[in-house]
Amino acid sequence: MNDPVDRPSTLHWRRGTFLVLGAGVLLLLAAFAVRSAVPIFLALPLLIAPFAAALAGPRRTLTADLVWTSYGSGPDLRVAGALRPAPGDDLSDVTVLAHPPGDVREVAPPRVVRAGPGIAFDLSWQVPHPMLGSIDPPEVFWEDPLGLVTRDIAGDRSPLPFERYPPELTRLGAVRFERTLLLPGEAPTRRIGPSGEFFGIRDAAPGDPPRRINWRATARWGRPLANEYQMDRTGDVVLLVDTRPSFLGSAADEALLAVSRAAAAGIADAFLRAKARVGYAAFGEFVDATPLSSGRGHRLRLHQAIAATRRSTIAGPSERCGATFGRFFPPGVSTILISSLYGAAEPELILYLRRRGFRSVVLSPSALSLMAPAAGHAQALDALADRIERLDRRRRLGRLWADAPIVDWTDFWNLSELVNLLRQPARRRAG
Amino acid sequence: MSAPRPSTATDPSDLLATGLLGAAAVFLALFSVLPLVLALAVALGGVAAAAAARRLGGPASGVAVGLPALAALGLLACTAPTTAAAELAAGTGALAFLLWLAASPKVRAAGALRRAIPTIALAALILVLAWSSELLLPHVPAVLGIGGLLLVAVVVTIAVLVGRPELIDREPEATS
Repeated sequence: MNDPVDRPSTLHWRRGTFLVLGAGVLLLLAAFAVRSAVPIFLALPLLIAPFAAALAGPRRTLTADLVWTSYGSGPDLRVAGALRPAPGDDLSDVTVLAHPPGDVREVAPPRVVRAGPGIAFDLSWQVPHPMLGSIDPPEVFWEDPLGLVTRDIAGDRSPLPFERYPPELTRLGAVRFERTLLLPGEAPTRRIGPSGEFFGIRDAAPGDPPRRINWRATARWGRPLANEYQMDRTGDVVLLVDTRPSFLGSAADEALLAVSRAAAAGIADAFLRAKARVGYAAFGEFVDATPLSSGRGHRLRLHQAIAATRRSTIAGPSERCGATFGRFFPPGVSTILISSLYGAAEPELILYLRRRGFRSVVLSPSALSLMAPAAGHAQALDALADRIERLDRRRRLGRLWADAPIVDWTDFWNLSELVNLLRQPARRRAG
Repeated sequence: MSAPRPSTATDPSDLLATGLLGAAAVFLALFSVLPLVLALAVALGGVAAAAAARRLGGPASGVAVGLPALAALGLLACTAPTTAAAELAAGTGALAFLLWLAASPKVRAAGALRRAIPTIALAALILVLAWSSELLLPHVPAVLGIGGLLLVAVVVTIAVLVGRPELIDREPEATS
């Protein structure tokens, strides 16, 4: 079926077109008013230019696919991308406008290189604190050289997810957690699995991939045999993020939850790389849990669950978390509780978890790090208020140390305190 | 990308286009009935104001920054007596203005001035046709009537094209 006219046009007149046409019409009226043909000759090119620009440009929708990736570490967020046009399309007058998401700010002008038929670009941004985020696809459109007409560019352009967390988290993989199933004590557990050190040979099962078939043994014994591997892992760990509202208000809670999500993603990645089993739970009004598992598929599941974690408007009772937690995770599993500890019920949560057999290490992002320093007269007063707040927080956290070791996370780009705590089992078992 | 910034360095093509616009405005000022000094001041003042506005407003400021230059050209055109040379000067001024728009620094890829040539050439072609018709055809009421009809036709065409840009499109036909 042919429908070239009913399809909405991808051509758009810019505001400049109406300015130029308006000036042209005014000049025509002026020509009649002063009874002179000279203004008409000034008006004529202005009245024609927008349509000449539309006719001189591409007469159909151009297509360009976007391929992009993010890199960098810590607060540096670099984005490199390329627009690849469809065969025969020219991207000479194509403009690419990328907007940093949320609090992310631009630190250097974007670098745009027109290489061959395509366009390559490099963006330098900085994230204010650890976060999981997504960058919307850039605006891509053709614009005539006079800036009067634009035309949309079609193509495959999807958002780019990014994650930024403190670089120390890469050292977490060396942490040995306590065995959770067989015997108490600190030792690496072993498990038969699809990768790791060679363990033995067994009869092949219908679902075994060809890589696992031991072809020499199969030929020797005359029946299909598969390899088994012994997989080392350091233990199990569960990340519990407290999403209940605090007295700080929704804006500060959201900001602290964003930092908590980034920390959870970073910690989960570090342990999954070390082939540990990682579970995740978010507690707001109820517990949303992702059971313990390992592998790349589980990493994706965890990241989706972490990204979907939102601040709860209703605070569930702490005993509910303790009771529900036991249904998803075996008692004794090492637990990292990520909570701002600004709510009234957080001390109870640590206690209830402990009663159910979950010894926790608490990572507590501090709201003081979110406050912008004051200037002028307010500076001295602000420093005093800041000091009082720090002392108060220190007093509150000090009381909770009796139940669980706590890391007061004040510098969001530094988690060496948590890494050191987890790497020292004696301190980890404090309380 | 992101928010375009005000340009700090002078773009050679921008400088060339501003020079051409200034020269065209001065050329038109020579035909104005205004005192020469005042006409020259209007011409150069308008162009200088537009250039300064573009420099301060940044590359993304668009066509609006050119309004001072356009206003100056309009004032000079309205005060010029109807002669073939004055009409040519006014047309040249409009073409120079379009060229100046194309030379907006940094916002577009290098070579925008060169790529704007087909657009400006089309406008110039129609201008030359109009000017030569005006020069060569005898000044009789019938011709003026035809001219008026053509003017109305142009305005109607503009209105239709602005309202329905898909008429300009030549999309490949979708098949199902």
